[in-house]
Amino acid sequence: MSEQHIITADLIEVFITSRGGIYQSDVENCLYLNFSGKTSRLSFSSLNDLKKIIDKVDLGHMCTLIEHADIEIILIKDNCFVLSGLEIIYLKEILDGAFAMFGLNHIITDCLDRLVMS
Amino acid sequence: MKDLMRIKSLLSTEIEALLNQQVKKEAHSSSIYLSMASWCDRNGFDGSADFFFKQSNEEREHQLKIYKYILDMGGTSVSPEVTNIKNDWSTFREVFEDALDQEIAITQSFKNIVARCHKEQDYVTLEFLNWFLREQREEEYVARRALELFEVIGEQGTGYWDIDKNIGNIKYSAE
Repeated sequence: MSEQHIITADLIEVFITSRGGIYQSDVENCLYLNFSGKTSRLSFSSLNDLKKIIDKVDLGHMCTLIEHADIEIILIKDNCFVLSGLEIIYLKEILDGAFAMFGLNHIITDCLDRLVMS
Repeated sequence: MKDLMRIKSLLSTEIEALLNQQVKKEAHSSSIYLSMASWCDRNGFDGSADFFFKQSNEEREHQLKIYKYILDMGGTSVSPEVTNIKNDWSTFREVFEDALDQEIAITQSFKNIVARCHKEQDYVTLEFLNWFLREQREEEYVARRALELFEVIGEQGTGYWDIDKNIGNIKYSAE
């Protein structure tokens, strides 16, 4: 489901924590999510979809389930994530950080583009 | 580092979310007008039923216009779930009071999105929304005039009959 990918020099670090991180490939116009021992290749929209799903996970409800407690299965295109409650918290931290960086990068790029134009 | 966020979509996450909320509000509005058309028809107000059927179609067109815009700009349109539609009104007048409230709520909602576009300097969406602001001018005018007919004609005697016959004649001219 997920492909193993060696993080190489052409990948730009977007955001990392001690649990994993997100890297961007400007050559492939895609992102690599390194988390829980595997690396997944995702488009920007897929990563955005993943963030929306993770944000909607009700951790309180998850913990109260009698069967299959503490497990969330998320399918995004060709990637399958089987996550525990704790992993969801760790992944949420990575995604929040990465999207804050994307936002910051957008503001900087926008400002630079305007400077070039003027 | 490439700005993948911008490459994917012209819309920011916040504006995309606001536009999707607006899609839902337009869908809700369309359903309410349909319900009003049903009530008017059931109670013998044919002119008003036609008026609300037309209004319902217009709201549906607005919904699709925004829905398509989100997609055209690289965003994700969400098909909305529409629930809690009122089906009954106590009086003929109350239907039109609700219709005006509905239009005011829609205008306020557009003002909120426009304010966000100004803040983010999203002039492309702002230009797109100008059409809706002009449209709301007409929508509120028509809803207000319809309600005023209850005062002008009066509700006694054949008042309701007269009001129903004149609802379809309300026209707005910006000039």
